[in-house]
Amino acid sequence: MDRSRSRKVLNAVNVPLVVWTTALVVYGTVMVASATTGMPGGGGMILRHLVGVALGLVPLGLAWAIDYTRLRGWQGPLIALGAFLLISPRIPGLGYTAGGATSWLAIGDVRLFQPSEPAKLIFIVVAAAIIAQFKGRIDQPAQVAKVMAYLAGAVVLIMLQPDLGTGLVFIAITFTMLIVGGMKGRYFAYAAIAVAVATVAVLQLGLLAQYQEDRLLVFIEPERDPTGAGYNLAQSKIAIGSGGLTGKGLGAGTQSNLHFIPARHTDFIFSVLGEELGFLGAVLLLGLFLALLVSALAISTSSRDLYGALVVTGVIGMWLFQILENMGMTVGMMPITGIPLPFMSFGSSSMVTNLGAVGLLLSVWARRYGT
Amino acid sequence: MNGPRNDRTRRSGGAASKRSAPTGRFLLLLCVLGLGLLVVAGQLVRIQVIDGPVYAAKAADQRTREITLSPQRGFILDREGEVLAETVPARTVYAVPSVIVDKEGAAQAIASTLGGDAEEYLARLERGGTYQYIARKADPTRAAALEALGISGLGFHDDSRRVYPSNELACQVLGFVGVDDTGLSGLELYYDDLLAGEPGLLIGERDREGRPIPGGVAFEEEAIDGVDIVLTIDKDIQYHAQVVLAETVEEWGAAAGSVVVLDPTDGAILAMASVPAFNPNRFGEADQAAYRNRSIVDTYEPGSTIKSLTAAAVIDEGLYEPESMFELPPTITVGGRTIKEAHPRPTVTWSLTDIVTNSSNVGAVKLGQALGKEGLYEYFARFGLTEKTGVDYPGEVRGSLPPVEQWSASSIATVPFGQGISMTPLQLARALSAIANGGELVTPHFLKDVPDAPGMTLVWPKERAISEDAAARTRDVMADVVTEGTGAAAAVPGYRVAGKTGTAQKARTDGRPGYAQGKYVASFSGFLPAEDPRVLVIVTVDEPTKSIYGGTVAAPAFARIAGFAVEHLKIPPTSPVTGVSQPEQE
Repeated sequence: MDRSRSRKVLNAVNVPLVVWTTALVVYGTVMVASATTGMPGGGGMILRHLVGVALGLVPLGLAWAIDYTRLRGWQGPLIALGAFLLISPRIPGLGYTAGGATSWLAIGDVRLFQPSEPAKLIFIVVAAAIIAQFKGRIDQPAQVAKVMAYLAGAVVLIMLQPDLGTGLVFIAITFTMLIVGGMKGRYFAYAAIAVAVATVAVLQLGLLAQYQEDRLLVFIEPERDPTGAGYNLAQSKIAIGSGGLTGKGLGAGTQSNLHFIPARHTDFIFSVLGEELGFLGAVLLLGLFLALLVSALAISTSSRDLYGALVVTGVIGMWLFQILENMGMTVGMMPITGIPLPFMSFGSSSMVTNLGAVGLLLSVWARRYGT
Repeated sequence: MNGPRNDRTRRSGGAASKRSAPTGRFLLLLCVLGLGLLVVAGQLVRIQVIDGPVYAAKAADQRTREITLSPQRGFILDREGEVLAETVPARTVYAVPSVIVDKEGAAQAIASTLGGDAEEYLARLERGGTYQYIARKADPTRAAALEALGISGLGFHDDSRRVYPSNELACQVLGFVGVDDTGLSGLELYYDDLLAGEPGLLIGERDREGRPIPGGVAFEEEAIDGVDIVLTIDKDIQYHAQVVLAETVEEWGAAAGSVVVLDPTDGAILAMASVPAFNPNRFGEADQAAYRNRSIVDTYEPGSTIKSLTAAAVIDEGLYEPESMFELPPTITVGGRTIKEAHPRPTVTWSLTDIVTNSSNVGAVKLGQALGKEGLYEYFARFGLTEKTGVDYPGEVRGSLPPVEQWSASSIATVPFGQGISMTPLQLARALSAIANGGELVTPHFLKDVPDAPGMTLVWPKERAISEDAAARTRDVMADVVTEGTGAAAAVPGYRVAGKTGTAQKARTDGRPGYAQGKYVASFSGFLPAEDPRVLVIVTVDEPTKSIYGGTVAAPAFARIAGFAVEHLKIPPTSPVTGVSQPEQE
């Protein structure tokens, strides 16, 4: 009996996902420890990071325990909660402004969390329910319009903060889900054109904040201003490049320790990793991410319904975009936006959200045979 | 709807089916994520593996700063160990402008402690960058006051400063150093290798604000201090020479002047002065003309002074004795040019000694003709007039003595009394030293000793120019100039002085041939005691206006300087001093 029960439990757990997630969390903790050494309140930083991991186990457990199919019935309350989360920083007395964006909830000067992080998961669950309605076949403009309306609603609320990077994450999530959701190829083509036109229009009309425009232009032309807007990019590339094949050793990254790298424990944690652990350490991280995404994809394909597959796909889209954008910006392939690297960057909001996402995936996996 | 699609839709949407969506869509997603990660990996290969060394170099360049550790520059001492140039501690103040928030406040604070203009400091702070000098080699007490204010973004490091404690004393001889302590002129430049030492190097790590990292020293090499040098210069004689020269130039309304005092036995230079002078502690404020060490870098036509060399040549060659008689007409015409005397006289019969004593141009022509072109040239070459003296001083020049082939028909008449030939005062000093010391051409020099480099041997070559006997006889001839001739004002009580006046016209400087109207160089060159010369002095006064004669303008200065020198060097008098009775017994 014991053996069959343990087999049953084992069956309910997607071992690869747990293994890769654990590996990434450990890897991230090591890097955050290295990056925060010598910072003001350095020892406390790693403790805060570990508290974030512990906090993340709560949504992970909850999401795992709840049958994900029941979430479809909570569409209304979830939309309301998601909208509230996105708009909450703009409610007087609750928001905290840093770096030109009001994207934090705070009591007084104590920052609590970034509500746009959990809002991503709510958006995934809501959008999955919408897209699943079309039963894997989206070929009517009205269907596309409905999905786009939800996306637009979310993005508009985010741009109130404004947080361009997170807005892009929502767009990436939506289009990844639309791939699996069965949207026809021509709509992707239209979308691509629309994005191109919108980008040009935004630049022409000057809708971006000056710092955002500078970052984009610097991305196109990196040598434009190496001490100003191009500083982050130039320093990040110097740090990663100087790491070479095997790196300078953990904690021995000269560029990061000497504060050349900005936000080195959060958005630019990969620059520290690249400098200290070199190409081999970076490839190890890429490998772990690939393993995580492939195991997520496996869960998606084994979902018993399209809705579950779409929820998982949304998470994949979120992770993939954040991974490519974050690593891409540190090596000069993407414009700089403030998007954290999943499981690696310091920051509890992000960690809790990503562990919650793992919970969703485990829930889909555990219920792949139906109940 | 066609059959297969319908079938697929049904299957994928069905609750019983394990496949919730078309496999192709998942494959597409797999491709997208695989490709995305591959592109990132590719970029990592490029910047970490291929360009890794380039970025490593950039990183190293960015986080390290090379700090040169200045060695302490060696002192310059006079022959008795008195300090002529020393190195004292100083502090250099720099700023990391990007760190300074209140730039105006900082500029005010700097100006109030270090002195100077706040606006100027502000301009430097606003220039940005990670390193700006605020004040180099500042006074340590003032720098400490600024440091005590604790302004973030200001840095301090130890430095040293060159100080010339006696200000103008021997200024052209010593020269000066630049802000980085390298010799720029004079002996500071010539002996820079000895004085400077070897700078050390410290490669320190810094953070992005340019602040040094504690313990972040990647490389350190200690500086090796420079060594002291001891000069042949005598501070007291030098001082006296400078004072007398300055007074003389002033008194006679001259444009400039120079003095050389040397020991003719070995060429050791005891003093060398030029007017105008400057203060090497503030050399930047001086006119560049004051930097000229005229005894070494300016050439003059020597005029009559050279008659003593012509006489020495004739005696050495054995053509005539000092007592040989010559019949001298009032003028003499050679090669179409008529040579006159400075002061017209009838035809006379004078000895060789008389010719020199009375500075007869016609007589000098006779002596020159006796030697012939080649003979004259050869002797002047032996006296070093065709070469530099080899003095240990930068930028030495030599005068001109054209080769015989280039001489005009009248050259044989003009060269013997010092026209159409030029030399530096030091070249003349060297030539006269040969007469003074028994016929040997010495190498004039400033360096006496390098105490910290005992292995170093200083060799100042000597070369025979004329015989000892000829030199002794010429000295007698020259002694008569002071006792009976044009140089009476050069007499030094208690000593027999040998010398020669010089009153030379200056060549035109506008490029045309001939002499400049009313521009003369008055000089007196001589040595004492005539029996065994120990001190040789040449006083050259450039463009005096109140009188032009060497015997009037330069000879009294010679007497004062030479008189002080022999007394200071405790050289015993050789003849009874008039008016002072010597005690019979002691």
